[in-house]
Amino acid sequence: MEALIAKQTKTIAIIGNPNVGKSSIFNQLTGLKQKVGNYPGITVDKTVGALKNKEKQFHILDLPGTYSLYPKSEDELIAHRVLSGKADAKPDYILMVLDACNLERSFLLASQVMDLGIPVALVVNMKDLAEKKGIKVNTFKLFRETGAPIILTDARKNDGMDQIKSMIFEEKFAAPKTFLNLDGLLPQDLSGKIKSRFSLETDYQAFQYLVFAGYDLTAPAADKVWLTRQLVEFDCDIRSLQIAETNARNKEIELLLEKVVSKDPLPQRNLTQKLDNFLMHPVMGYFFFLALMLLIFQAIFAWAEVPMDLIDEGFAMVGSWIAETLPSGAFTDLIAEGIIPGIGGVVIFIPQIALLFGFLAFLEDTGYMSRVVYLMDRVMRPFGLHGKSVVPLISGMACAIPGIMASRSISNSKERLITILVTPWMSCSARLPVYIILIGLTVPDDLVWGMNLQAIVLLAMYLLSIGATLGGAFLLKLFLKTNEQSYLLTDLPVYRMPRWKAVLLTMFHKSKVFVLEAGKVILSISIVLWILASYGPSNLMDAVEQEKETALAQADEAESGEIEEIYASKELEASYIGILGKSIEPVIRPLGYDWKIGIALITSFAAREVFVGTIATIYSVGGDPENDLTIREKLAREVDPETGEKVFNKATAFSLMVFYAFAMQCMSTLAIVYRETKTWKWPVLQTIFMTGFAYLAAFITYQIFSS
Amino acid sequence: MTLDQLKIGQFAELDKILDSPLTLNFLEIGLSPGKKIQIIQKAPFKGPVAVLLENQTIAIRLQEAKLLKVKI
Repeated sequence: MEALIAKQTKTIAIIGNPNVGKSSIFNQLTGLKQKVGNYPGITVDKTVGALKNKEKQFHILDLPGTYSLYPKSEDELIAHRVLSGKADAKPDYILMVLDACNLERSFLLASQVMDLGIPVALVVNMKDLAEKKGIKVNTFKLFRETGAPIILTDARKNDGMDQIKSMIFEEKFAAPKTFLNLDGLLPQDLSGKIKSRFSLETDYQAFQYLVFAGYDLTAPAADKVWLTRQLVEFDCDIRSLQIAETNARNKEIELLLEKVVSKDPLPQRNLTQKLDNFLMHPVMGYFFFLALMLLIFQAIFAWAEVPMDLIDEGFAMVGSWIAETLPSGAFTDLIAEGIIPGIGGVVIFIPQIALLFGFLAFLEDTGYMSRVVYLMDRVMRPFGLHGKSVVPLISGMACAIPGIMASRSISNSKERLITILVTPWMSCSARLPVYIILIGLTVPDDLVWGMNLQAIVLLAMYLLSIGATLGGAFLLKLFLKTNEQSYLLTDLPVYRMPRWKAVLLTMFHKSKVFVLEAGKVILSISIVLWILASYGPSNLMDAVEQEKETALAQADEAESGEIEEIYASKELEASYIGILGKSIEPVIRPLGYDWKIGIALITSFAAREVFVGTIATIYSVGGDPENDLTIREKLAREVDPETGEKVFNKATAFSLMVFYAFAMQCMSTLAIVYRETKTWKWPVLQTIFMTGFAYLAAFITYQIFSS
Repeated sequence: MTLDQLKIGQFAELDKILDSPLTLNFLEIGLSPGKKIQIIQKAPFKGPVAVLLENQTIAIRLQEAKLLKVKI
């Protein structure tokens, strides 16, 4: 039964140039919330969604944008693989999205797609912008010339989506006329030979087999050898064939568009160009970019503090309320001391994460991000990076995972690898709570030269991370070799008003994913931690228990509270987690950490944000649960039982911050690096190098501040 | 002369693409011979240039601009 349904479900691939609105159309057809923006290369992977009515169901594939069927970067390769049926079965239909303002460029890809022989429909998007520019498309003539159904749309305003839907349900896709006759390019005999060997239908399919013989790694070796021999036999050169094909297509397209498009004389200097005169100015442009970055920084640290404090206090209150209300016992302790502080440690990030992702979505949706690529290209090059590396690096300030994914649009493999390897050093939002708690504990809230001292230290941590990222990239540049040429060739899209709804949706969606994903890890780690901290080997625990009884029996009423507290700490030391922490203490002592911090380091290897939850759990166990102190207040009161000094002094706190800035402590990042580089070599090297460097840097920091 | 030698705001026509591995990239993004072209911004320290091409703006490096022959 299931196989039968699967057979009936047809697949439609959405394809088009970068930044023509493929994802916007996809979202409206499928009701999904694929990220959209105004930056070429937002979609770097294929996404599948479904469109159905009562009778029919379709799979819709959203593909990364490309300018032709010949891929130049990792993201463009995906479209090629899908359309040639190398990933899965070929799609049944193609929805080709064109840019009404740049039909000429759109048609190069469209004409190639039409010659593949798959039934297609043309969607001419951004008709609103075209109308403003005085471009008119005669759809009827275009239909007559190409033989493919045509729909005019404005996907940003949802205009034309119903026509697309009904066109899909009626399956009005049509196999268009052959756009380019290959007679003059590809020898007929050769085409015939290839078609019969691989049982192909069109000349262009044969042409594609020939072109991809060289760099398709999945094709059987025998086929490749055969195709290469044909190339020699017929004296063909792939690259000149491709150039000849592209030139011939451009000529045909020019002839076609003369017939179907009418243009009013261009109004000179429109809004985008006026804005660019300022935003891309050799001096002002950079000042604006810097000011924008400072504004984002300000928002994350100053504006987010209000809701964060509220969340922190709220969770402390809920914790103590539960401790008071529920009957006391192991279960209540687990909730009040383990789970509530653990969850609170994640939820507290929401304001900052939402703001960061909101700003990024805003920059991408207005079209400004491409200008950043232009402005920063010269700055990044000495470090072995590309202008396009800026996008992964800035995204890395929110989270390394989308940052590393965004590196797919970098075509040069060396620049891409360096970007992937250094992005985790950008200060991601998971490090923030660690910094904020430690700075709050050790740096006074004073004003220095009119600036808040705590803010200055935080800024220093960010500058440290940016410096390390660029320095690391520079070192990698010296070691990695490539003979690929690096180039910059990118479209600067028209500025558009951001779609506030999409920006807000991104903020909501990213926060939700973060809380759910991190929440799962933190919840389970909190529970495990709590159990390990509450129980220990019975001989050790019993000994402590007995000692405590004797001490209590001898003491009077006034002293008993104090004794309870001393023994709570001794019990933690005798627990399983205490034993684990103690065993790594010799290694981390030179960095200024005690065994309790050691426990937090161990759990943080899953994810950095676990730090706060772990510390909260460890310091709560055995404490007085009816005391509704916030995490920060609990830590401030923590003293070393032997020396009587504060555990979180300046040297230890700074050393910890430096450790968290540099160490590789994120399983998800490692998984993504593996996926993107397709080998374990890089994630393993990354972990060893980053963590080793973190250890050294933290050691030096501790020595400087403790002397 | 080649595109990198144009002054900001100066109009020219794209004449020829000099042979390089990037020829196909130029043709695909719309930098094909016969088109009117103009430099609208140059990034400092020999950074990339922004070119206006009919109704699209494209950023390329000087090194790529040297591959595009133009006539005024």
